[in-house]
Amino acid sequence: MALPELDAPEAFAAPWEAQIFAMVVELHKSGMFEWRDFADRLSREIHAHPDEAYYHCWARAALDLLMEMGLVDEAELLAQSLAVIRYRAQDHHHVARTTPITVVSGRR
Amino acid sequence: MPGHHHPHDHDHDHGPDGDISAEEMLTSIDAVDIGVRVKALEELLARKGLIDPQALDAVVDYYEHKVGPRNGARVVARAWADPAYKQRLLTDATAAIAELGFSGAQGEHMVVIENTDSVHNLVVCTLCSCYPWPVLGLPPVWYKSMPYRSRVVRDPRSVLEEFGTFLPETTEIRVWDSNSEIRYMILPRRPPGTEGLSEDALAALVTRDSMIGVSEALTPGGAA
Repeated sequence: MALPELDAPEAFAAPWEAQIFAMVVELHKSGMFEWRDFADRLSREIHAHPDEAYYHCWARAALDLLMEMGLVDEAELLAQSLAVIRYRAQDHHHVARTTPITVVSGRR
Repeated sequence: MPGHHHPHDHDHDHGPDGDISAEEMLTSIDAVDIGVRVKALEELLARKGLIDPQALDAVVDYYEHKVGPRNGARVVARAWADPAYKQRLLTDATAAIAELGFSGAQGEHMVVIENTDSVHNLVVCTLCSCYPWPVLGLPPVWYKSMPYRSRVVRDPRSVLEEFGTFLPETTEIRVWDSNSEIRYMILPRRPPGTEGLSEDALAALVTRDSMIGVSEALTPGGAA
């Protein structure tokens, strides 16, 4: 078993990793839960899914904790997810644009 | 089904499978793309007034750019230069680290272990990824990985060698398990040839890996 990416400099591989990280830190800082409550869940997720990416486990642990605390429920999260998907679909450009969409000519 | 004679007559089409409607996919939150799930969670929590999206950006910026192993390096350099500080650091690490202005989430319950000529120490979190953020920043990818977490317990010497750290066979190796109650940091051995160096010059020799314990501090003007 080789160690992965000894020199990987980035803390986060994708924006959502940073966002879920920050949400947990913020909620903890505002006193919503003890760090231990989160750490225990994270540990459980990591052991249950040893091959899964770290922040996937982090996200599931966070959701698990927030649902158990009654701060969010699955139905509203599904509904909000749908809203996100629809919103993102709106600004999909399904045709590749191979020319600039705006050109402002320079001064002569 | 009036108006639905052609299942594929959407005004956009994603290819052979067509555009499976979002409703069909969203039967369980686990089926939702993780990026969408996180975004949705953020929006929900913001709407409920539980988080401030701008504060999230500040948190990310802070942990990506403002904290990092340079903080820990300052602590180590001070300990090398000032025996009284070193004593305080080994006695009450959390307080001694706070003296230099470093504290905060994941910086509570710190314990600093000193490497010596006869004993080499290194840190793991076998449970998950507990790590002293205020002094070391966020943990590197390998620290969180299963191979590191398991191998360093069974065979730390081979892991050390993978990091280019070859210790005499007579050196005892101790592996410390960080968790949410105690977070360890290693005080590496002060390299030879550093007498009279300023704290800044000393700090430049202290790497993140040397404070996790998988390597030693750098030697001035040369290889580690």
